[in-house]
Amino acid sequence: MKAASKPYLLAAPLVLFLTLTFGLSLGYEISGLTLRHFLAVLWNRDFVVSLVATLSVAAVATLVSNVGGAALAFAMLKARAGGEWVRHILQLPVIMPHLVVTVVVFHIFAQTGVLARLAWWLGFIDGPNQFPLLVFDHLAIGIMLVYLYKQIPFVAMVCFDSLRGISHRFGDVGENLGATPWQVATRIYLPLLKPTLMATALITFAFAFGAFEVPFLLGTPLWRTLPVEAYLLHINIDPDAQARSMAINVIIAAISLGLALVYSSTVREVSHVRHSDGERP
Amino acid sequence: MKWGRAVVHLVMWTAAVACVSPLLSLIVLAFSAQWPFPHLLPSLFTADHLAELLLSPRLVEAVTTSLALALLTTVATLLLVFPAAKAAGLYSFRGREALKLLALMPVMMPAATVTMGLHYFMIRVGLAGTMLGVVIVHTVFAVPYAFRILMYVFEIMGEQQEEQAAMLGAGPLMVFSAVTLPLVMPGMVAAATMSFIISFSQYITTFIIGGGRLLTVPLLLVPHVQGGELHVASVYSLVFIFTALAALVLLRAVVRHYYRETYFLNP
Repeated sequence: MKAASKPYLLAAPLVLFLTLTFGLSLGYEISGLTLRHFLAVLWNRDFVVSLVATLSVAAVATLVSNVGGAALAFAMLKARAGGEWVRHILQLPVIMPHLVVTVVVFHIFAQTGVLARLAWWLGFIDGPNQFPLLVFDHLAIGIMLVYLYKQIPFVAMVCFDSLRGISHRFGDVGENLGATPWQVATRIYLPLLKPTLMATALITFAFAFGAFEVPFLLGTPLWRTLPVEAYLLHINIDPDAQARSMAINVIIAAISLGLALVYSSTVREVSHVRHSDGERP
Repeated sequence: MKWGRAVVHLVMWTAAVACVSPLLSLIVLAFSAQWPFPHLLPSLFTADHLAELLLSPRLVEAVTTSLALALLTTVATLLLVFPAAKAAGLYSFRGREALKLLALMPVMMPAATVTMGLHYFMIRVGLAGTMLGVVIVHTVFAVPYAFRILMYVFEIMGEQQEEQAAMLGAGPLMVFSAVTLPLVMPGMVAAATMSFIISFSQYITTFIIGGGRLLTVPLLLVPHVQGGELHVASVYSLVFIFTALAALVLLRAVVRHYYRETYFLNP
């Protein structure tokens, strides 16, 4: 009864829109983008430093936010009814724009910030210069603080919702058989949570890898993340710099595509209902 | 066991305080007039600058443009995503997984990268510096969230009701307006909410494609962060947060008024 082409017709506008925008974003418009530019980029020491730094920042932020988020989700689950009000509060960081969080991190962690003042009152430092550099620092602590503020609650919320969907009988059985709360968490619930954590880890990594505003505003002058590097070359009036910017962007896109493919091949989402097969009378 | 409960509560309270304190510190900062270094609290609180900043024509322009872009992006996103999410949610067909992967791509692809690449095309076809150009790019990044939400809604809904209505003689338009739309409306609100927030928070996409012709709240905010003028930045940040919240509350109220649905409104 149903035409087999129906789903394709329904999906066509979105597919067309996304393939066109992504396709056109790969730099066909820039004349003279050749292999030479890719080699020039890859051969450059600054690029290698940028690449390693960007990947490291993303990896550390991902590790800390997923471990922290999962731990928070376990605590919320353990608190039973108490977990619900924390979940409401966790929505605040998720809706706070990154730019606003950047302002706050600047305000709290700069050398004249709230923490430095607190350290002064407590007698740890005599002046702003003695406070450790936590914003614009080489280790990207300021940048990571923004990511962690946004991502720990995100991971915790997703994990908490996922854990809530898992029957607590598993844990009860474990406890009855003499497992400690730690064993219940790590041996029973953590394996059940693994697919969820895989998804959140990939999403948080992709974000931290490709973010622009946060490293642009809080980054050190010593090195730049790849998107910031690409942007500074993009606004350069020299056509050769623009071509190199495009080369970096193509490399970023390739890495992101890799992440997306890993996501779609490892994260098998559980469907809510069985699909109708489309051939039902 | 007692000890374990103490740890649980410590973790939860730390998280709650850490989540809320940035907003509180922004509010204190926005009302501060003088706040030299060693002082823990501002030495002078005032709301004088506040009124001046809030009524400045640039802020009014930025809020208006931000709202217009967010509304247009929301409409464009829903129009594109609705049919595709229906296909992915209701039917199984070859390419369904590919469609889901494609709709996920904007989450994985950095906005700065895609925008820089599109910039050259936008310049050539005259879309750079226009509202339409910016809406197109914002829409790309709003798609994944709206798609996910609506796909799940269609999965849960199934297609029996639509088929029954058609069987009873309702035409396609009637089925859509009397059956499909009311059933997916809560999901539409959630999808619209996400699209709105995504568009409202965009910086680099608006900056590159808008080319300085369109002033939004994030664009107004960034130079003050760069210049270290945190007082002004905090006022704009609060405007940013509360405008978005007000618009969303209004959107939900309107829909609730029409449909009197209160459940399933949260994404």
